[in-house]
Amino acid sequence: MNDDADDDLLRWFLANRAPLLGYLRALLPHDLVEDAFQETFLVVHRKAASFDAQRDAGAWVRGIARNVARQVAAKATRAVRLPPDQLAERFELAAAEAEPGEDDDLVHLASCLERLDVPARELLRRRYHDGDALDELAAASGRSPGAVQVALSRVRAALATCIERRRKATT
Amino acid sequence: MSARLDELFERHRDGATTPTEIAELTALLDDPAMRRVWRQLMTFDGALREALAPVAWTPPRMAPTRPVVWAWSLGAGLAAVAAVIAVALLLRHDAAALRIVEVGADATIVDRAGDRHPAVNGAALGDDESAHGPLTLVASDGSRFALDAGAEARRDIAATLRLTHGRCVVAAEPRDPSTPLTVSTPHLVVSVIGTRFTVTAGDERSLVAVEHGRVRVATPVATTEVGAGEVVAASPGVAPHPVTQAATRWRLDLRTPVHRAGDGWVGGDASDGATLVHHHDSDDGTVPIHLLWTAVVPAPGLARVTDDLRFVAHLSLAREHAILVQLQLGDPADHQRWFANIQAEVAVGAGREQRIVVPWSAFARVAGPGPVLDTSIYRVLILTGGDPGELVVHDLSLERP
Repeated sequence: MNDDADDDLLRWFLANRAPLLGYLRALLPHDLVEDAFQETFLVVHRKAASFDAQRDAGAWVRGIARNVARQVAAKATRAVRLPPDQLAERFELAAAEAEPGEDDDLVHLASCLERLDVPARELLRRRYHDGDALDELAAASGRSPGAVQVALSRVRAALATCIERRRKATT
Repeated sequence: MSARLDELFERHRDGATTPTEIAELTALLDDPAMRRVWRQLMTFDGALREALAPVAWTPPRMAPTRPVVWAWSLGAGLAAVAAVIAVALLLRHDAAALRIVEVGADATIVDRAGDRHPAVNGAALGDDESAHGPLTLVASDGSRFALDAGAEARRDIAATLRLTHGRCVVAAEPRDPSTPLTVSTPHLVVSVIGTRFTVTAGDERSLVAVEHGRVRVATPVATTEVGAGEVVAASPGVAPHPVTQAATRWRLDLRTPVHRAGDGWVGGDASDGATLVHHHDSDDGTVPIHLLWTAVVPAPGLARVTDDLRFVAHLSLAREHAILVQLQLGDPADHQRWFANIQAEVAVGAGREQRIVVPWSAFARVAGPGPVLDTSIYRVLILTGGDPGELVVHDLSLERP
């Protein structure tokens, strides 16, 4: 593999951080995702020379990510339950079916986050950044886990609407 | 159906799904439309995780219509913003053999069980062992890794050597470009095919200084090439960027005209790039303040943040008062990308043209979730609460010893 192909692979990695983080999060608990992401990057970097440029870079990187997830889970100081193979294969299939440019609108996410009110942003921060479980969020807010899940769904929908509006405004 | 998938997604994230729900989810994801929804949920998950992390924040507006309100919210309101994520990696895999040589006093090896033993000349560094300098590790091709006292390194499947902390001087033997020698830290990977360079891994960032040849530095954010005589730094979420070793000195001389605060509003952009604002209207319940801020200087900013930096000012004060000095920090390559504000409080006595020196150790983060070290200073702000009487700022500077 030549340097250009190597660069292409790293560029793919850098451009697809969000989907890859999300994919790893579907495989692993919140607190193990950062380690797995970083280790996936290191292994991709190490194995870049053996990558066949004719292959699908996404599938290749996710294959590494899945192996890394298994290793990270095995080394964890507590028992970590990985999704059954049948389910993990559907996560892979879902990720593989992404259309080119499908995630381009996410560039508007940061500005849309700023438009959220403070409680909504705090909810997202605790859920996605801190990794709080629904039960923890429910206990902290005095609501049921179901109500928190609905609230999260609504905030995500509001963000999706904002992103869509900005996409239309810029095209 | 989509609502049910949403519910299962949240339960799956928490590891709370029952075997029945796992079967239900597996069946749902046989449907391409449901897989599309699931993909969007996964991607959103990753994107939110990134967006809510430090580097996604943008600078606050710097020109408020009511400076008194803005200034205090800057000092207090933003102080609750999340701290920097420091990603720490611990990799324990098979790797190339490394032999221990040139063992210095206090050099040790920590084994898998966490027990510490004196390092032995000629011994091999085993799997799951970490070497603690001062000592040198020699790879099978003769490449040498000299660990300073306090440095820690281990073998690694993803790199020839994993430097977890401290400084390591690497002398790489010429190699086939397809199998470069690599050194990783918690923040970056360095690839070389024959050169001499130094890697330093700190808690917040890693530095690579190249003596001879050329290396490639890769992080999850970006990759760059570093040539002889160049130094780059990388932190979590911050792309590798050049570090100017020479001291960057910045000075703003305000003697002509002298900026003097009086009652009521005094403001407007001065010709030298500083704006002085005095607000003394306590009738509306606001706190009277004096505030001086410099213009935001485009990249690379006023000065690079290093731990030997100090802030120096000459001030005249009518009466003893506390002064807050705030430095607003951002990405060295992009002045629009705000990282953090750090602030120091200094008690200044009454007197004319007093020289105050604020060392780095006096500054503490008051706002912003981004890194501090190795960022750029884009604005200096001086703030006083209450009424200090006459305040004259003669000059400001950022210096290194």
